[in-house]
This record gives sequence, C-alpha cells and structure tokens, in this order.
Amino acid sequence: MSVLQFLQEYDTSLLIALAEHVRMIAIALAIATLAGVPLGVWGTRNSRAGGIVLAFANVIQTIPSIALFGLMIPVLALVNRGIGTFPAIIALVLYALLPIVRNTMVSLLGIPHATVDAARGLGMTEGEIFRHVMLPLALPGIVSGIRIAATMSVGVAAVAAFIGAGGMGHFILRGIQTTWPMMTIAGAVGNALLALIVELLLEWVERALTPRGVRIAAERPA
Amino acid sequence: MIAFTDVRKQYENHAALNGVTLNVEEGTLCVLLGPSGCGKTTLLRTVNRLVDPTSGTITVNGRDIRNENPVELRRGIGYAIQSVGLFPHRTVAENIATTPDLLGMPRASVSARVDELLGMMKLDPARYRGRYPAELSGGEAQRVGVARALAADPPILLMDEPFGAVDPINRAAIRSEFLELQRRLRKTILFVSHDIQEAILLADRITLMRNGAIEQHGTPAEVVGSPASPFVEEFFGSDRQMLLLETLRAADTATPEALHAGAPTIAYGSSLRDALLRLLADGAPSVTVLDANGAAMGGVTVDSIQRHLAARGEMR
Repeated sequence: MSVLQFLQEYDTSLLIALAEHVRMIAIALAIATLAGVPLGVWGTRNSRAGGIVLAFANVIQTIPSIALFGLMIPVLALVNRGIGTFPAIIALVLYALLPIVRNTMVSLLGIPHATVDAARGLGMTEGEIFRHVMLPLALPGIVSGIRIAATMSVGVAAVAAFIGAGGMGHFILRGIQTTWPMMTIAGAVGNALLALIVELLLEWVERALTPRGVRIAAERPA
Repeated sequence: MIAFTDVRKQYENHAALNGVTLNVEEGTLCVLLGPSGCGKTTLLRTVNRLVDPTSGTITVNGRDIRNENPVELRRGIGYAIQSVGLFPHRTVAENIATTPDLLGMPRASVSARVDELLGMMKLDPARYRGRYPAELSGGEAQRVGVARALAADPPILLMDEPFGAVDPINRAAIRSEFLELQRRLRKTILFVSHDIQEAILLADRITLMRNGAIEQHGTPAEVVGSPASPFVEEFFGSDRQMLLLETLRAADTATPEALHAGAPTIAYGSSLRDALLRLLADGAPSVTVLDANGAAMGGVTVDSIQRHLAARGEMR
C-alpha cells in the first residue's frame, strides 16, 4: 500500500484523530491558562503561596505521563471516568500548569522595580499598575509559557491514546499492535507536524503581543 | 510648603528615620544630601506616602497627608527617580501624559501639554513624541522623566537623584537647564542627591542627613561655610573652602572701585569660584561681573574675595 493509498483510505479517521487531539489540547490549555495565570499572579504577591504552587507543579512535572495516566485510573474510576478523554484532559492540565505558572511569575517578577515604583508614584492605583504596566510587559512571557505548555501537550496527548483518549496517538498505538509501520509513521509524522504548527502559531502570537517599545529594547544592545 | 514634624520610620531591625523635623518653604528647592543609607530617600518617599512613617506628622500645604487618599495625593505631586522608570511599552508622549491621563484631562490639552514640556526639556516634540524609551539616550530619558513629573503641573516635586544616571557632561547641562526652569516655575521641590556639586548648584536649602536624622539644615553657604559638626565638615572634605566659594555669588562681592578697563568678564550668576578661577587663568588683577543685561556692575579682585570671606568669618 502506497502512502497515497493509505492517506486516501484513512483520510477521515486521520482527520478525526487530529480533531480529537487538537480538542483535548485546546480544552486543557484553556483550563490551565485560566488557572495558571491567576495562580502565577497570586504567587508573585505572596511568596509563600508562590513557592507552594511552584513546588506542586514541579512534582507533577516529574511524574512520567504514562505513570500519571496509570495513577489516575483507579482514582477517576470512582466516578466512572478512569479512561477516555476526561482523565487525559486532567493530566494535560496538570502538566501545562508548571510552564504557565512559572512563566507568569518570572515575567511579572522580571519587571524592573523602578517601573512599578514610578507608576505608583505617579498616582496609579494597584489595579491600574497591573493593567497598564505589569500585564502588557508580562504578556509576551506569559504567552511563551502557554506555547511551551502547548507544544509539550501535543506529545503528552499522544500518550493518552493508551487510556483510550483517541487522537493521533491512537494511530501510533495501532500501528505498533498490528506491526504496520505505515500506520505508526502516519501517527508519528502527524503528531510532529502538529507540534511544529502549534509552536509556530504561538510564537507568532507571542511576537504580536510584544509591545513595540519592548521589541525595540530587546533588539538593542543594552 | 512641606512640613515634617518629628517623623520616624522604624523597620524591623533598624530605624530609617529618627525624628526628622523640617520645613520646605513654598517655591524653594531643598536638597536632601548625605551618605547612602542616611534616610534621605525614605524621607522623600514619605511625602507621597510611598512610605508611611511610624510616627510624626507630615503636612503638604497645611493638610495632614495621613488624611489624604494616597493615590489622589500622588497625582498632585510630581515624582522623578534616578532609574527614571519610564514605561518601556509606552511612547515618550504617552509616558509624559501618564498623570494627566489618570486625572482624566481632555486629550487635546494633554497633547499640547506634552509638546510644551518636551520644548521645556529641549527635546523637539516632532522628533521625540513617538519614540520609545529604548530609543533614547540616558540624558534624554532623564529629561523625559522630569517632563513626566511636571506633566500635571503639580506645585510640589519629589526628585530622587533625577540626573544620577547620566554621564558627567550631560549631567552638568541638564542641571543648569533644570535650574533655569526652576527659576521660572518656582516649584516646591524636595530633591535627593549624594552629589555635593549638584546640591550647591541647585539648592536654596541643603539638608544634610546622617543615620536618619538631620545633621544640619541651611543655605548652601551656611552649611558649607559654617559646618555644625565635625561630620558636616568632613562630609564636604578638603574641598570645603573651594565649595564655599562656589556657594557665594560674585555679584555680591563686586565693587565699582575694583573695575578695570579691559578686565575679563563673567556672567551675573557666576560664583566666587568662577571669579577666582578666572583671575588665576587670565593672570588679571580683577574680573568684571556683568549684570543680567550684560552691563558691567563691578569688579572682583583676590583681595576683595579675601575681605568678603573674612567679613563672613567663615574661612577657617
């Protein structure tokens, strides 16, 4: 069977797998961003909380994904959700938290003290300092965290096929089980391409969100 | 006017301010001078409530600032700092417009005000309005920082080493431009510096601080000429006598008798130090001090400088 024939025969299921994959990642990233950015902001206001949040996210990060899936099966089985996309999304959220929280904290803490002091001294309220100064300056770094999380999630989501979450990983798994290299390669190449596209897309978003003045500063030697 | 009464600031393990009582008169520039860690920046920051004192009172134009909302208070007081703290993501115009925008001033008048301030700072509005801080030199950034502090035309300015991060040549230029500006604007200014020359040039009053307390307060000539303690004397160092000459205006010593035809001339605002250096450099018996209109108002000789100092009883 040629590559072309394979693609023709499996075009629908490949597209479905791609959609499943993208859907899992998108949902997980949305949740991780909505949780991670506020957690990161909180972490910069309260250094104890910041330490705890980072330590927790770090621990999660060190657990291999396949082990995390295994660990979640008995726990989520209690609510009849041990396998499928549900545990996959939970795992993806947990993995995505670390880069998002960490980058949020690093970006906010990296804003020069003088900039914030000037903002306060000129009469901005704490809310105005956050909206007008801290957020625009930290945004590129925060998006960079989301980009790292997204690219990583593409890989983790592939492993989620083991717990029946579908996605591109399903092709890899089936190819291995049936010793059909074509199928494994289709899944693997699709996965790699997806990771690349996600990376480039978010790199572009990151650049677009970088304020012009900050870009100029970055391009000039200090 | 800014009035401090027995202001103290106690941090966990050290006292930053040890009972400071000080009045900064309206329309004058008071330089807080002293070694690092003497509390001068802390004192400055109590005025716009970036630091709240542990005890004591501070009034600004008669109003106790404890009763003021800190945000409103800060919008009414100009603030410029050494590291400038320009917002890197905002253009020069947007940076300058910060406080007027917060106050909700109409757009058109803010824009006109930005141009006016850039002009005051000797920065061409057409060239600088749209630039970002990263596109400015150190001196330009500090000028923008001062313009931003002046934007809402506050009667009071707090300046924490606002010219500290510029090279010496530009610093001298910015200082004298600022002095000229202050002569016109007559703001009430509290100005932190650790640079003696700067203090002497700019100050109406110098407040020399040490360990969170005032060591001596007075005009530059008083503080330099009659040090109240060995610390003050030591602070100005072996240069003190030369510094004293710098605090005294040549115009105050000039007499018509000392006028010599063809003598070198110095400008109205020149110090006795300028006069002396001119005498030495030109080997002339006297220098002629010009008045504000450029007419000869009197001459200064080495003798007259000596007599002037002897009369003050300050040259020890």
